[in-house]
Amino acid sequence: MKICLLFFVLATLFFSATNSFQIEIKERQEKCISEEIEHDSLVTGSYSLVEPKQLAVDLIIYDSKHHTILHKHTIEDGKFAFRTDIHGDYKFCFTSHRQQAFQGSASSQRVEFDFKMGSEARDYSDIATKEHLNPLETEIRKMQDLVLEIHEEILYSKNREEAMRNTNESTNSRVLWFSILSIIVLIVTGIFQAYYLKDYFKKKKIL
Amino acid sequence: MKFFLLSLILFTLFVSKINSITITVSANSKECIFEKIDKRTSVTLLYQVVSGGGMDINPEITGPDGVVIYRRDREKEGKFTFLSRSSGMFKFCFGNEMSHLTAKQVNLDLQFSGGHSNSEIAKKEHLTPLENGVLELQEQLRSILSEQRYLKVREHIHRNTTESTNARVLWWNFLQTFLLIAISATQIIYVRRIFERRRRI
Repeated sequence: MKICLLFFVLATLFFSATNSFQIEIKERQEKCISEEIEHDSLVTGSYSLVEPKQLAVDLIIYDSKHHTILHKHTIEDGKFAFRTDIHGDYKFCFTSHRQQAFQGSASSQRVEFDFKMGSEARDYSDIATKEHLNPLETEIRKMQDLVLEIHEEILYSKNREEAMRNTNESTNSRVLWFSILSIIVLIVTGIFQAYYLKDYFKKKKIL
Repeated sequence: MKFFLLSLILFTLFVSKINSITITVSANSKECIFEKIDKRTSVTLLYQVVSGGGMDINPEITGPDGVVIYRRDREKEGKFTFLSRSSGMFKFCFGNEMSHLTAKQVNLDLQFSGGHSNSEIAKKEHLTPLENGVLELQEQLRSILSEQRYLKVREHIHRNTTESTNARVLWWNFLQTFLLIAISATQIIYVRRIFERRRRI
């Protein structure tokens, strides 16, 4: 049983470790990666500087209202985790400063980054040991959480679609009423012009 | 039992990994994402332009040997699947060279499947139908999640367009009404001036 758990733990670690990508940052540049995340969702991630280490890079994480959630100066290798309060676009920004270069005069640095949200971020080996689940049950538990997540996203999409439908109906009626208003204004100004000029010439002729 | 567990665990490594992010490409520049990929991995890139100018981008995929695998000009969205021939660092670039002022936001989704030693597939024979079913279900669920993410981005783009249309209808109509009244007032004043000048002369 212990060997099985060990394999499982190793497998999930391996599985999560190979899910990262790299971005390149030049001197005095800021590169941001954004992702739309639900409220009350667990977000975990890891970052590391790819050899050779040339520039000093900071990691700043902003929430959808542009408040700073996390600010790590001169990162090396590390992890982060936080829980989101509000729904929206979260930004993971890497900034480089020229003053604190490690060595040499190279002008770009590769950073390896990886993040997970929602059910992907949860540590299932931990849940497995706490609730005494065997690997099959853990996989089913993973699926349960995945299905719940899908369901929540569908409900959220439903609300958004309703808001969009309201906007569309408003646009539709606006196009109609504003066009009618334009036609009325056009006719009224035309008639007003004709009568005004008629009056004006009559006045001039008399005088 | 041990074989089953080993194959179950190793099989999870086969299941497609989903990696979806949104990047900003400034005007006149190119942004790249580097990813280490093993050989014989099926890689699928899904990209959509979320916002910015003409909503088009130049995607480009380069293999570890520097050979360009995929390149398109001015695409709004696209999907491309390829099988990696060698292991190494693959470059997924998006160029915004056609725009001199506006930055573009691109959402990309990278999916991988397979790629580890094929000998593990042989162990699949030790899986019972139940275990097989569970694994297949997981695979299906992940693909549902991936489709859902794609639709989410599409909906976001759509909503931006709708709200922009709604605002435009309002403001441009105000401008139109104002212009109509201003033009007819100008016409009247102009005609008056003509006759007043004639009278003076």
